[in-house]
Amino acid sequence: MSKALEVRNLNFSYDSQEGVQTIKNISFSVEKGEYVALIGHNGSGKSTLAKLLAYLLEPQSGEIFVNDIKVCEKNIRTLRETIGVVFQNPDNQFIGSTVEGDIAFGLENRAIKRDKMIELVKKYSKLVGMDKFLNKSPEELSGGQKQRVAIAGILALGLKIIIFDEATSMLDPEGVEDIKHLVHEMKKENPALTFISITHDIEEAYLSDRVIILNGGEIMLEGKPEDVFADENKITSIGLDIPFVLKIKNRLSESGMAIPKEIKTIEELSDFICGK
Amino acid sequence: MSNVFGKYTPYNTIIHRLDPRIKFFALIALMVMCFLPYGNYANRFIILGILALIIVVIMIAGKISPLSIFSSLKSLWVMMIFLLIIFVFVQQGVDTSSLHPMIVFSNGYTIYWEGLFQTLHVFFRLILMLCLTLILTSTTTPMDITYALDWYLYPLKLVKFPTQIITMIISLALRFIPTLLDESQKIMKAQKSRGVDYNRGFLATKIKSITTLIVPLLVSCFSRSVELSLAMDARGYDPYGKRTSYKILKFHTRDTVSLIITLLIMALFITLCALCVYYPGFDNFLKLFFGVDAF
Repeated sequence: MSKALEVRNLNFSYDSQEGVQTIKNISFSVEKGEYVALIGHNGSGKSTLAKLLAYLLEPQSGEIFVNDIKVCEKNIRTLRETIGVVFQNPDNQFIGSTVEGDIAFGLENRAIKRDKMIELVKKYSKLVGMDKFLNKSPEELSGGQKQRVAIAGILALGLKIIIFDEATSMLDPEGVEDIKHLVHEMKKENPALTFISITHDIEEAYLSDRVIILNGGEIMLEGKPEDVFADENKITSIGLDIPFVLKIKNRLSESGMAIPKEIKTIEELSDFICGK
Repeated sequence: MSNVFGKYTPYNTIIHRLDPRIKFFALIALMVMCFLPYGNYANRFIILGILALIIVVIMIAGKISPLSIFSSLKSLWVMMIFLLIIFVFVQQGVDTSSLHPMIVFSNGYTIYWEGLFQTLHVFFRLILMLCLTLILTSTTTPMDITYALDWYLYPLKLVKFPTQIITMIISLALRFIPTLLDESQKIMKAQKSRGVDYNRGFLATKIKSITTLIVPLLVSCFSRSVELSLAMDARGYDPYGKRTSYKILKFHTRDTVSLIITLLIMALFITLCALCVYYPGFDNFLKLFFGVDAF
């Protein structure tokens, strides 16, 4: 089976003269339909990696394959139809002057017929719960709403791989919950969608299929969330925290209470404890 | 922001619903009408008065208070005084025999009535043009104006001029005005909390304190534009590529009717102008119809 994403010996630096290597010889792959969380401290190179994957930056050396297509200038059109990014700042990626205009922006770029566009805008604005705000301008919307519009704009393109580049880090807690819920729905609707989330949110990473931890431009740890976060000391040594649920689980098992591995959320944990 | 002069006000009047292309055309047509030669001063004021009446009717139809124009005139006082000085004190042409003296000084220097009238005439035109622009901007969303502009730039496409880039630039600029205003307010608050005083002090101090606003604003502008271009790139924007348009402008019956009305108004004023220019006697209505000697 071909991979959704394959990265081989990737190197990148913003300023080659200074010799600061932002991405150091990274190799990894992502299966189709997988939900991968990419975490790391500030300056660990995770946003740079996202831009490299979507060919918004050109790698210095190494190769990236998206759905077996090599990431390079020649294949840019196919790439744009395969992989998309939702960025951090909701304001700076709102291109249209209204909600519908923004969702339609990517479709306009692809020269899709207007009737089809109207249909798609309707469908995806409904999916993200923004169908009542189609005529609103960005200054009338909250950050979370703007981010939902950005997601609708990406979903409408029917991409196979979606990257969230800290898409929730500028939102209020309510907005964050909103987007998390939306991602969940998205995955349920379309299980074939490959989803890469670059995040600071350890709790979110804990719910993913696989976690990749970047540190100083290198992959430090990679694997299932429960395995990656198992070594508490190692995680905290690079300035990251382990998920709250895991912390409680660890303390509980220290005091002699065995908690099954499958428990991943606070709700499950409290049910388990109360049921006992 | 709500009472900014000429800002779009979301009503649902007939003027608001008109096709922006028609409004754009009517704006230009009526502006040109302000500048046609209509004979002597009395004539000019009568004809501009008729035009003013038409404009006031349009303003009322568009729920714009005609009086609101005067609040914006405050800043134009300096200009009016300047014009007055120039027109009154500078001799009107070489031949002064046909002019009407207002004040004759002892050394023979004369101030003519024409100077005063000319100032008033220029000012009258200016007010009418302001009113027309006000009608367009307060009844049409900036985006609609951009769409209209895009349509009018169409002939340039035939000579391979990238009009879609121009309209994209304009629409992005319009899109970011509120965002940047918001940002500048935030920066000002942040700087005020650090002791910058934007309201007091002499000009030099004020300019100095403004730099504390402008520099961070510029920096954030650049970082925003970088992010914006990345976002546009990621969604497959190709400035030279073929694009379709989600929004299209539709021509309704009301648009045809208003186009005809605009053309009729134009015809009326052009006829008046032609009469004034080519038929001797017509350049002085008051004398022709009422026998009053006006100038």
